[in-house]
Amino acid sequence: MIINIFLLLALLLIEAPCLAQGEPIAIVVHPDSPINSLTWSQLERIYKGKQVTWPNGESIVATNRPPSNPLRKQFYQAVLRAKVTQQFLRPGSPIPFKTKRLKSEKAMKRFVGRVPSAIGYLAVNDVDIKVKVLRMDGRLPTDPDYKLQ
Amino acid sequence: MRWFRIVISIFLLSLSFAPYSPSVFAAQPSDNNTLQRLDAFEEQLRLIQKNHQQALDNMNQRLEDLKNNENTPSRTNNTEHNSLDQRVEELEDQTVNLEADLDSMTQSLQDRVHLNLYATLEFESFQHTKPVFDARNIELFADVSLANRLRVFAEIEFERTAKTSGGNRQGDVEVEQGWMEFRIHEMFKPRAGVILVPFGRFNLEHFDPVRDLTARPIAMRRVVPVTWAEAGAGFVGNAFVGNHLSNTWLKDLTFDYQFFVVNGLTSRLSDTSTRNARGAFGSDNNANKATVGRLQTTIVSGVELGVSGYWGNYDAQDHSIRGLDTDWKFVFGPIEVIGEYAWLWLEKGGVENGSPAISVPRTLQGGYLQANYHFWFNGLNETFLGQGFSSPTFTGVIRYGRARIADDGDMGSRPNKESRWTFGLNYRPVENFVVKMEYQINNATNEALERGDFNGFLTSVTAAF
Repeated sequence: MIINIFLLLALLLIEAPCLAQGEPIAIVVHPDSPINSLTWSQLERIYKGKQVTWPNGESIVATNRPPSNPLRKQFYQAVLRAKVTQQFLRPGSPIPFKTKRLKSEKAMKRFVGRVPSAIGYLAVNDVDIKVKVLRMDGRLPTDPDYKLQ
Repeated sequence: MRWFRIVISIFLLSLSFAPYSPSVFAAQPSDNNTLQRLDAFEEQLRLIQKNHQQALDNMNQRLEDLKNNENTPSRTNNTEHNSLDQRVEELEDQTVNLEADLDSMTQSLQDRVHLNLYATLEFESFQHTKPVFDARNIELFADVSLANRLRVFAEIEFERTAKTSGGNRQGDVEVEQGWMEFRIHEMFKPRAGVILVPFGRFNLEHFDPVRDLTARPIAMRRVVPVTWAEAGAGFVGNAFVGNHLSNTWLKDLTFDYQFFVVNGLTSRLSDTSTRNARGAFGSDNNANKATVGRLQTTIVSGVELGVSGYWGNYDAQDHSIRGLDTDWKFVFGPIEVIGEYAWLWLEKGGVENGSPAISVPRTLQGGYLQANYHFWFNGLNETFLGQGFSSPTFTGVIRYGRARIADDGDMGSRPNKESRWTFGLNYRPVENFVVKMEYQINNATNEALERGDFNGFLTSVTAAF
């Protein structure tokens, strides 16, 4: 009986990290975007409205999921270090910086795949050739030490 | 006789059948003929059987084909299906393209035009004064990107939201900001118009929905005359240096700066306030233009430090005023520690009110230190405080502030000092709606700067939309 309990606990300990972790999240842009990599700090600045243009001068269109979405929760906690409902103000004003909210992964992929200056985040399994995955701090979502595992 | 009649009858009957069977009666077939006819019949029968078998085989074949068709569409059907699939895909693509174009256009419009309002209602009850409701203000913000590099911003305050003249409702309409910006580079953006003077963090972030207490710190009204706007021109910009230091602890390192030339403060400074010295938007009391600037650095995420400077003449006799301001903001999870301290040094001069005995104060200084703690009790989720809100929050606030302004010679010769402890709690059901409550304990020496020694309670509700 005791051995069984130990085995069960061991199994739970082994499985727990897998259960707790979500799917890796890829940061994606339009396939023709000249951007190939970003740092996590840059991404944080983009989603907090502190960086609003790409190096080529185009306005960045940051896409987002609804607050109830688990992917958004993971993204906000790990990247923005904020609650999912946190609003970020445009510099020098009380006006909230607005992101483009999209209902589904498909809609986000579709939007990012169509709007050249857009950026978004997708579960790795939802990524296809319609979008380009960025290297974050030099790492891809499949790399072992990627931040959004 | 009887036998005879029977024989005759049989004979006659035989004759009566004779015309209907001639072959039988006319000529008897031989054995050869019979065999030939039998052969012919047999041949016919074989042919019939053969044809029948063939027909049966054909039917079976047809049946088999039909069965096969049920399982596998015919080539014609496949082509039709492929064509339909292709058409559906084309239509889907067209729909996606149209949606994306619409999204893109909507997004473009959203990016270009931002219109926001916030409104505040206050109630205060202090010792020795009557409790009063104060429909404080409605502020209108317009932030418009005329083109990719051109930005226009306006903040217009409708104070006490009433008549501006012809009544006793103390109404006031004021442009608190109104500027145009041309982005040459993120690090270099010329800006001109009525700008918020970048002297300290509080002046730049004075907005009611953003702050966690109703009352401003004493020093941020009496030393730094928040809301302080001036007509002028200058540059703003930021440099995200951490981008090149992504593998170090300085990966968030950022510098933000603002630098402006403005009309500047006038000589209407007193030993209780700088508020009346704020320059007019269309005139100046001297030819000298003041320079003001601020540099802010984010060392790591959640640690922001700022330093500001001000230099200009406040009167027509070239008497100068110099200012220094430091500010900081630290965020550790749910805890924030913010503060600011400012100094102003004035050259002796600036005769006020035509009386040579009354000069300007030589030094003004003051600041505040504030700690915020954001929290929530999950047990309230099903109550009216939590139900229906995605992320309601309480914030407990404690702040200490003080100001010290040297005497200007009007009453006595000692500096005027005032300090204040504030204890507050606010509730935000959503980010842009806040109910604030606070209690102030004030202590003053010499002339009162704001509340004197009177303690009191303030509450307010602010909504931004």
